[in-house]
Amino acid sequence: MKMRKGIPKVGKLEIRLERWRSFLIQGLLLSGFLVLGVRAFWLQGIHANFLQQKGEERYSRVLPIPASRGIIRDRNGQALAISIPAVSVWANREDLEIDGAQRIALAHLLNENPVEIARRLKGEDGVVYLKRQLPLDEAQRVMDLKIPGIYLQHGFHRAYPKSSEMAHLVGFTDADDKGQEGVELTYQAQLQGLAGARRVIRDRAGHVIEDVENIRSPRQGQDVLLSVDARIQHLAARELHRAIESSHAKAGAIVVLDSRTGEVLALVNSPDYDPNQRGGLSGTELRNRAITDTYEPGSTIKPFTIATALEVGKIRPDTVISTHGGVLAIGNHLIHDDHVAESYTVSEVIEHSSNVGAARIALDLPPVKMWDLFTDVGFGQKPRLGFPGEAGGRLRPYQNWKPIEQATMAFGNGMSVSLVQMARAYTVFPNDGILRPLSLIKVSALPPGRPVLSVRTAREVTAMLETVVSAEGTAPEARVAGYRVAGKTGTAHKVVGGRYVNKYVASFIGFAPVSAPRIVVAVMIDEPAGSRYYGGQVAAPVFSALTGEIMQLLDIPPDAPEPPTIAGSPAVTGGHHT
Amino acid sequence: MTRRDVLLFLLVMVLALGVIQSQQETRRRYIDLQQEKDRQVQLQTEDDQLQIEEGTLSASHRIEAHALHELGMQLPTPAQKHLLVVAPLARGETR
Repeated sequence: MKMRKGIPKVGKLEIRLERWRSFLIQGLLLSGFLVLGVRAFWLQGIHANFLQQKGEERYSRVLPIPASRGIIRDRNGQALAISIPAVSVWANREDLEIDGAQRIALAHLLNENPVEIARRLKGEDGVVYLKRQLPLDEAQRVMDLKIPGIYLQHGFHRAYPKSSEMAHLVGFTDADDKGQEGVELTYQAQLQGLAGARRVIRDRAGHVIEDVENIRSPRQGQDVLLSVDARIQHLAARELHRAIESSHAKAGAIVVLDSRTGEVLALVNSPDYDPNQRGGLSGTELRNRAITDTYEPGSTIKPFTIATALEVGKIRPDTVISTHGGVLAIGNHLIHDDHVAESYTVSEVIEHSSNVGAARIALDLPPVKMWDLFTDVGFGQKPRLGFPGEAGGRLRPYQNWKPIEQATMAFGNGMSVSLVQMARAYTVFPNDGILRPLSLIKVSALPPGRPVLSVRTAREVTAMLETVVSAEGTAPEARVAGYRVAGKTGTAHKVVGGRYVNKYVASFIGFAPVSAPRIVVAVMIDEPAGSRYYGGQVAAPVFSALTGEIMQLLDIPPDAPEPPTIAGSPAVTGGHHT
Repeated sequence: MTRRDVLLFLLVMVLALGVIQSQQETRRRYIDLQQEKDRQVQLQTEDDQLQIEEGTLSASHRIEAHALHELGMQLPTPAQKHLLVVAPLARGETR
C-alpha cells in the first residue's frame, strides 16, 4: 500500500531513470540506422552492378540469331548441298538419372543399340555425345522423356541430295559446319553463316516483349551457283562406272567443259563415296583424281607438238614426214610406232598417232617454242580453280632438254598433267586458239581469254583431230551418230618407282560438234586390266556414249552430213595405236 | 483549385492511361511479330527440307532407274530419231 501512494508522482519517476538506459536505446537505434546505411551503400553503390545484372537475368535473355550456311546449287538451280537445323543429344554423366526403361526408350528414339547406349552412359563423369545432327522433331521427343542429365545442343545438318555423283566436286563439311573438301572448302568464306545475338526482355509466359540491344547482327551464308549441270554430271558418272566395270580398271575420271566459256559442266571420279555417310572412308575414295592426280598424257599431247610446228611455220598439214618404217634411233634410244609405215603426212601422224612422226617434227623445233606453247596452254601450272590440292603437273625447263627428251615429250612422255589441265588445253582447238580461264562457278559474262594459237592453226589441228575418229584413225569407236566429233587418243605406260611398267593410263580427249563446238570431254581410265587397254578401245567408247547423250540433252542439232556408221561396225578393224 | 487545374489534372490522367494502353498494345504487337518471325524460321526450315527431298527425288539416277526398270522406257536408237528442220516463215505466210 505504501508503494501505491508514491507512484502518482510522475516527475520523480523520470529522475529515477538511469541515464545509461536512454543512451543504450539511442545507441542501438543509431547503430541500427548505421547498419542500414552501410548496407544500402553496399547494395546501391558497391554491389549495384552485380545486383542489377541478377535482376535483369530474371527477365532479360541473350538469344542467338541463327544464320545458316549457304546452299550450293548447280547451274540450273538444283540444290546440291543444303543445311537444315539439327540438334546433337549429349549427356552429362554427373547429373544423369536414368532407369532401364528410359534407357531403352532413349536408345529407340536415337536409333541406337541399347547396349551401346548403356556402355556410353556408364562412365564416371564428364560429357558424352549420344547422337549428332538429329532432326528437330526427333530431338524434341528425346527431351519429352524428361531424363535428368540429357541435353540438346543446337546446330546444323548438311544434306547432299545428289549423294555420290557430286561428292568430289561439292565436298563436305565437318560436325561444326565447316567446309572440309571440294567446293565446301574452296568457298567456305562465302558459304558460312555467322550467328548473331540480341538481348531481349521476356514476360512471365516466356514471350519476347522487347528488344533491348542488338549485340551482333547475323550474317546469312551466301549461296554458290556452280557451273556444273547435275544432269551431265549424272551421265558422266554413269558412263564412267560402266567403263571401269567393263575394263576392270582401278580408277578413272571424266571432265566435261563448256568449250566456249571454260565452265566445268561435269567432273567425276571413280571410286567415289556418299557424302551423307562418310564412315570409314579412305583416301582412295576421297581423292579428286581429275584435279589432284597427274599422269603421263601420252599421245594426247601430239596435237600441241603439231600446233607448235604449224605456228613456227616448219610444216603444213600435208607436209610428208619420213617415219623410217616405224623406228627412229636417237643416241642409243629407239622410238617405235605400232603401225609400220615409210612416211606420213602431218595429218596422218595425228590420225595414226605416230610416235616417230611426232618425234621427228619436234626435233626440228627450237625447244623454247615447244615449251612456250605447252606453258601457254597451261601445262606445268596449277589450273587455279581454287580447289584444295590442285596439281600443276610437271614440265621441265627447256634449257635442260636433251634431244631424246624433246622427242619423247612430243608424244607425251617425260611430263605429267592432270585430266582437268588436259581438258582445258584442248579448248584452244574448238575455240579458234583462244584459251579462257576455267570456272567452277556459273559465269554471267564471257571471261576474257588469251590467244595462244592462230585461228588457222587451231582449225588445221581440228581438221586433223577429226580424222582420228575415221575408220582408219585410232579411235573410230569415239564416233557419235549424227555429229561430227574430233579428238585424240592416249595410251601411256605408268611410271612406278621411276621405271615404266606394263600398266596403262588410257585416255581420250575430244570435242563436239565440230561445226560449232560446244563441249570438250576428257576421259581417263586408270589401269584397265583386260586385253583391251588402248585409249581408242577403253576411253573412246566412253567419249562416244557420253557426248551423244550430252548432245541430246543440250538440244544441239546434228551436224554430220550423212548418217555415220555406228562404232564397232565391220569397217572398224586394223591395228590400234596410242 | 481552379477549374483549369481540375481540367489539366483530368487531362494528365487520361494521357497517363493512354500511355499505359499504348505500351500494352506495343508489347502485344511485338509478341505477335516475334511469333511471326519464329514461324518464318520454321517455314524456312521446312522449305530447306522440301528442297532436300525434291533434290533426292529428282536425282537423275533415281529417275533413270525408274524409267528403265519400272516404266520399261528406253533411249531411242539413232534409227528411231528423225530430225525435223523447220524453215523460217516467209513474209505473210502462216502455218
